[in-house]
Amino acid sequence: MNMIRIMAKEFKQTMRDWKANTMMILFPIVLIIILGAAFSGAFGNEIDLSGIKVQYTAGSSQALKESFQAFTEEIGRELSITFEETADEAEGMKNIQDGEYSAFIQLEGDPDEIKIYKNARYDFDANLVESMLRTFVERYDAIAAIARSNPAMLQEIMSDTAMDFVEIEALDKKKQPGSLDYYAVSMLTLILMYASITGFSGIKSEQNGKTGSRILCGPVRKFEFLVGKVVGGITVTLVQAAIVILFSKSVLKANWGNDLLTIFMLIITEALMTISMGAGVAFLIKSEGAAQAVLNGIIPVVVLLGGGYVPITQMGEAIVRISVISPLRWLNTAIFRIIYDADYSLVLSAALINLAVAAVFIAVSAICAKKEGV
Amino acid sequence: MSYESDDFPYYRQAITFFYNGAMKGVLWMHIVKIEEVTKNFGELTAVDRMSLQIEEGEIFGLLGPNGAGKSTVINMITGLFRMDKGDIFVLDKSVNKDPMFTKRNIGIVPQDIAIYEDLTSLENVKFFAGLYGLRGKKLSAAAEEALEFTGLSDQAKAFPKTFSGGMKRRLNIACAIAHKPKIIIMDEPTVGIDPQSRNHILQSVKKLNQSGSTIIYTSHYMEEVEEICTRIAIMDHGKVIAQGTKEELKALITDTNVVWVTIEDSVSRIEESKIKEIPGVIHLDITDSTIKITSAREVKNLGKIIQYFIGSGISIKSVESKIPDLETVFLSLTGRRLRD
Repeated sequence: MNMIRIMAKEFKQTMRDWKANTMMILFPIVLIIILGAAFSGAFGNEIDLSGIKVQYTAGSSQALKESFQAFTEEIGRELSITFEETADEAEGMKNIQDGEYSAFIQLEGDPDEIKIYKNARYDFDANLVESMLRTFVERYDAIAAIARSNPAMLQEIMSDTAMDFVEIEALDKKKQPGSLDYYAVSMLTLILMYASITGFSGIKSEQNGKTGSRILCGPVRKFEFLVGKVVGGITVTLVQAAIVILFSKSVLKANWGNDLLTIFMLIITEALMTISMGAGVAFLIKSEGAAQAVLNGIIPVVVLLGGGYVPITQMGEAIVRISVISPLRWLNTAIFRIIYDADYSLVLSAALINLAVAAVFIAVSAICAKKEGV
Repeated sequence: MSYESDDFPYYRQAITFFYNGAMKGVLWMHIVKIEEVTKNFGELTAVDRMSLQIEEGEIFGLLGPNGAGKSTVINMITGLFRMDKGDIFVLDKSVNKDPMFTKRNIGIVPQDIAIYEDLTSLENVKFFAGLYGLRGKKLSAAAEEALEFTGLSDQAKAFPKTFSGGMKRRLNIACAIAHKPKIIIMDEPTVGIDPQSRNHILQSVKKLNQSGSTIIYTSHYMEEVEEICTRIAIMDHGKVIAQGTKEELKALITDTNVVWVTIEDSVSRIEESKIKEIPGVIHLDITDSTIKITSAREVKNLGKIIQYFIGSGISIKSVESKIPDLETVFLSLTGRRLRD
């Protein structure tokens, strides 16, 4: 019961600290907006492919036409590019000139004679179509060669509909976060690292104000005191996190996927880790200034290696390798995989890493408190 | 204040009595008994084989300079510090074996003001009293009563950051007494406050004692201890060097009182034999125009001495009486002043 009283007191005190709340709630929201806007061009999914329209004429080769249609169906499914057949070559050329289509493709009997006409206004779109068309031609040539040398295998190859004309993971906008989506996640996990200051000041204020000793003069066990403080700090942090998530989801329309519950469970483990880290540092380092310097030194490194500022893939191979030491790297990756791939393979690892770090710092706090009191 | 005895099933003598018209209690051997307790901090021995007994209903003063070991003793009684040797018994229960029992029966007023500046006065008192198991309406009533007692009821919803030092000290006390503890420990509760607040606190201590609480009061202000304490232990270098009532302590260093009478007339008019006839007078010493009269300490004869001079028509210029105080006792026992 005393644990709950201490927790409730901690919650009340922290919620009254408007400076801390401003930092923990407004700061990430502002950063999501600013960084989301500033880095919008750096994230691949900002290219909208859904408006690309291509016209083509089928040549005399029925085999080529069937293969090409299979190709267009696959591309249409993956990238929402629209292919329309026309029998009128002149109309196709005119539509290109008028800018109604991004490209016009002429299929002849021989795939090596496929022609593509592009409108300069849609240079990127047309180049994309051209590059995919090249892949198609290479593939078609290979199939034709097999048909000549080993016709028995042809049926098997042709029945393979999953022809990889495009690297889906690199281009599919539905599976990549936009800058706003990215920073909604990374700024939240970043600011939660600063919840360690809540854990730190929660213990330091009890030490400096002698209220911790006063509590322990009463019928309160040290573990009740410690758990009450840590859980109180976590509760406040989770309220702050929930506000940031709800705001970014409902107002900024950031993508948090369809499984917020699992994401929030991961956030709880991060809050536990950071609050415990703050408490542990408060016990370990007597000087308040030195302790804060340590926290303010560690947090940016953990955040950087966790991809909190920019995606780690953009920071070079060496950083990507080192980044495995950052719990935030595991956490952020796990969250992004849940949102964009419904992939839960990293959830357990990320949660266990956070819980292990929390366990270390809770143990340190318990040992120090046992030795010295609070 | 009223008390419930259900929490204290352990007693030596089942003598039931009514305490303060409301309390059904038991008689303890000693409410606090310290037995050969030692506490070391590294190389420093803060408390050195200290023994002490405190009886129920006392205002017991622990007097000593800074660093004498008073706060360490308090922290061991409350279970905050573990003792290296010896044991302390509170209500006949070992603090080493059952610290929670001790903690439930003690209210501590720490030397430092230990309150939350971002909680209101009422929230502060309710939080600390709540740790002792009070709930709901009982808790609210007890907190309001404690604020009333310390003169802060009109500040119940105010935040302590706006309070004066004296008000904070009073709130510090309110947080310790709301759960109506059997023993209240006050560790230097008047440090750094104005005389008015100090007076208020000293009166509060007396009232708490009258309402049934045993008080352990530490201070290095000897005049406070002298004013309110029924028994006193003087500590120095982690040891109790003397203990007893004020009179017993003073008797340790002298059994006489001295009066200096300076007269305007010639000392030739003094009749030494007449003065020596005054009850209690032991010795007479005349120097220039001053007569030093030494009397037995237990005899109050100052009125008769003055009456002699007036009756003999000798004009008195000044009278100075020196009765030893606790400061003198401490100085005499330790060779240094309390506030050194």
